[in-house]
Order: sequence, then structure tokens, then C-alpha cells
Amino acid sequence: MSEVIVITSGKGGVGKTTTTANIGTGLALEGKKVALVDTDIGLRNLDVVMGLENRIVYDLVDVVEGKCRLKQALIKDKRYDGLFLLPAAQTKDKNAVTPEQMKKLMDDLKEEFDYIIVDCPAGIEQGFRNAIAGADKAIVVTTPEMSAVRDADRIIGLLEANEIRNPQLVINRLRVDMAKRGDMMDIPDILDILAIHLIGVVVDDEKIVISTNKGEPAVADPNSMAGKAYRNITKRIMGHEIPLIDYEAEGSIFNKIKKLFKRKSS
Amino acid sequence: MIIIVRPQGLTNTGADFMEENLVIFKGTKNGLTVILKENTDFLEIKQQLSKKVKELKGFFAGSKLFIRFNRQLNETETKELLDIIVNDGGVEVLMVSSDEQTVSVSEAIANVSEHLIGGDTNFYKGTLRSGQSINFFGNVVIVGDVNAGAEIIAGGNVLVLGILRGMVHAGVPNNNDAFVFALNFQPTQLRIGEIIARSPDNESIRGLNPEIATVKDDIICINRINVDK
Repeated sequence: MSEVIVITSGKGGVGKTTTTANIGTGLALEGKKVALVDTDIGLRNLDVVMGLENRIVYDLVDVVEGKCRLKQALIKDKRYDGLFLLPAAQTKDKNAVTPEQMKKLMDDLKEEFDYIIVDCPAGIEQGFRNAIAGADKAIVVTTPEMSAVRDADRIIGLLEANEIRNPQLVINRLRVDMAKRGDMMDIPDILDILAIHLIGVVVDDEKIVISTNKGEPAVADPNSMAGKAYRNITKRIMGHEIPLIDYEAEGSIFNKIKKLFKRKSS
Repeated sequence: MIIIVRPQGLTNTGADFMEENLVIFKGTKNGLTVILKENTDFLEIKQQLSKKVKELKGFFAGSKLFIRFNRQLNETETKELLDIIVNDGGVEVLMVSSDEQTVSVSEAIANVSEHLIGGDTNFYKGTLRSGQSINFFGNVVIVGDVNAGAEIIAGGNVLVLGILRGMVHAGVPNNNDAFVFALNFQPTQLRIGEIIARSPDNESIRGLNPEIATVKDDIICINRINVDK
């Protein structure tokens, strides 16, 4: 049974593309056949984050306009078996595709792949409408900030209005120390407002910046906390029940180690 | 069921006509007065009426109105205007009178009072999310939360059986006797009738404190409700 999952948020810059890349790679590492689709036409990023930008020959708009076959546009990621990318066009804009064309594309992809992960652009206009066409499920990404949560709430309302029920939530870039001090929204604060099922929490991790710049998804890095969070999210998407990482406990271990080093250096 | 009608959109207390306003709706305790500009071509009046009624269509849908025109109209004219209100507005007209007819307030109320059981209420189950809006001429009850960025615009009272974080306007357009109730009051803005208020800046209350907002001396007051009585 194939699944089309759209990764959306409303707000820009909260981590949709990063989440798409990491979830997709994670699922491929678990042996699934995965297609990543970038629908941010005109502002494409998924190819950069995946490190595949210099292998683009055809893109989503070419496929939809019939200039090439779907197979020609799909880029096979040589590092991960079963992982493919359908890039967006950079020289067009979001009016180049209609929701009906997207739906047909999703149906075609469903015949070949176990999971199709769709990277949705920021906003609620044509780009969003295109991205959700043909989606079975949605994952809403937010950061622990009032503005991001407000936009996520709007998006959830729009998803429900478009018959995409029970979206799941990823809280991204959480800073546990700030949340404990009360300087940042905590997980219960966010769930109080959004009231949807939480599928994962990803802490703010420097390694993500490095990984997106290099084009190597963090989910494959055993030393990355964010990578570990994405590995858990991947397993939960596949139906496994994994408890949320207890960042408090992790924090206390790190703090103990930090204190050790401080004593040593003084 | 008959409702005290509260049209959305602006009405002025005096007959303060601008060039374009040949037709103005005025909500009163016993129904809707349609104020028609004097000495105006009837055809223009009909066009304006049709336009205005269409604009307010969502607000009135399904309601039964008690209508008064502010000037004497002959039978044909009355029928034409009523047709517009019924067909373009989706409204069922219950009673009509003009100033010439002496339908006293008490008679009107007597006619409709058997139907007046608190007014029509719209129930919404679930969380009202940012960007969603509920517009209704009667009362509105939300069985859930109202998130910031959501809005409720009601002719009657508003009850939120959850946390109110959005914007509520009750008693539209000019019923300052309407109330707003919520299990937890954290609205961005609160409006009752013609009065607007916002929450005090330093409030940070958590937990459920059922409260009710009413207008006293032209100010919105919020009082606790004692649940333990």
C-alpha cells in the first residue's frame, strides 16, 4: 500500500525541506522504496539539501507538461538504495502546475514507490494547493515560536478543510534549556494550541546546518541528536511505537560531562 | 423558530445616507427595518436592495424575519421588495408592516413570542483554528477551543466551552446586552454590540476559570462564574 505524505507548515524556514530529506532517507535506510518530490517551484531547495543538484536534467514541470517521462526526471540517489528525487523547476513559478496535474503525478508515483514524501512550499496559496493534491497524509512541522505555531494552526485548519484528516506534528529546533527556563514554548504549550498527534521532536542541532550545506542528511549520522530524532520519526511513520527521546535525561548527562571538563580545565 | 435579527455590516443610528446607500438595514429588538432613501427611483432601490441582501446572505440564511419598511409602499412595490429579500437573501419573511400600518410593538411581540425560545443557536464541535470564521445571526456555542486568529461574529450570545484565544464579536451590530462566556478567557479582542475591549496586558492565567463578559456602563466587564454553587 503506497502512501503520499505531504510535509507542510505554513511558516517558512521551520524545517520542511530538512524533514523531507531526513524522513525520506530514513525510510530508504529501512529498506523502503521512496520518492521525494519538491513542489517549491521557483525556489527549489530539496535538491541542494540532498546533494543532488548537479544531477538534474528534467524536473517536475517537464513531467507534467509531457516533455519527458517520469522515469527520466527521477534522480536515483546512489548512496541510498531505493531513494529517488523528483526535483522542482527553478526557472518557472508555482502557476506552472495545477492540483489536477499533481494528483495524476502522485497516482503515477504510487505505482512504483512505497512512500512518496512531498516537500510543500511555505504559504497557503497555489504552491500549497498543488502540494496537498493527491496526499493521503500530512505532517505539519513547527518550531517552538508563537508565529510558527499560529501558522501551523492555520495550515491544520486548511488541511482539514481539504479532507486531509489527522495530520501529525513534528516540533523542530527545540532548545531544551530555553524551554526549561521558560524562554521558549515547551511541548505541552504547543500541543495545547494545535491539539494534533505528536510524531516527533527534533532538537536544535548544529549538525543539521553542516548536513544541509554538505547535502548529507543527518539521519544517517549516528552522532547527531537530530539524526536520532529523525530515525525515530521514520520508525513511527512505519508503525512502530518508539517513546519520545527524554531530553531532560540526556541534558543531565551532558551537564555532568560539561561539569567534569570545567573542573579539569580550572 | 424566529430570531431577533442582527444584520452584519454597518448601520448608522441616524438615517445617515451616503450617495450610494439607498437601502440601509437596521436591526431592532423586534425585527429588521429596511430604510429606503426618500425620493429615489424605485428601480435603483430594488438594485441596491438586491446587492445588499446578497452581501448579507450568509448571515441571514435560514432565518425568518419581521420586516418593516420606513415608508409607505403600494402592494406591488412591497411584493417586489419582499421577493428580492426572500429570493436573494434566502430568508423567510414572517411579517411585514410599514409605518402607516399601526402594528404596535406589543402586538408584534405577541405574534412572534411563542416562537421566541432564546433564539436560534449554531453549535460547532471541535477546535476553531486560526483563519476560520463563524458568522451567525443567532447565538453561537463552540464545544472546543477558539485559537488565536479565529473569529466568531454573532448576532446573539457566544459561549466557548473551551479556551478562548481568538476574536469574538457578540451582539452584532448593536445589542450591548449580549454576553460572551468562556471556560478560559484569553481573547485577542472582545466586542459586544458597539463596544470593543482587549485583555489586560499582564495577564497570564492558566487553568480553567469560567468567566462571563457583559457590558456595564459602556464598558466590557468580565466576571467569574461560581461553578460550585
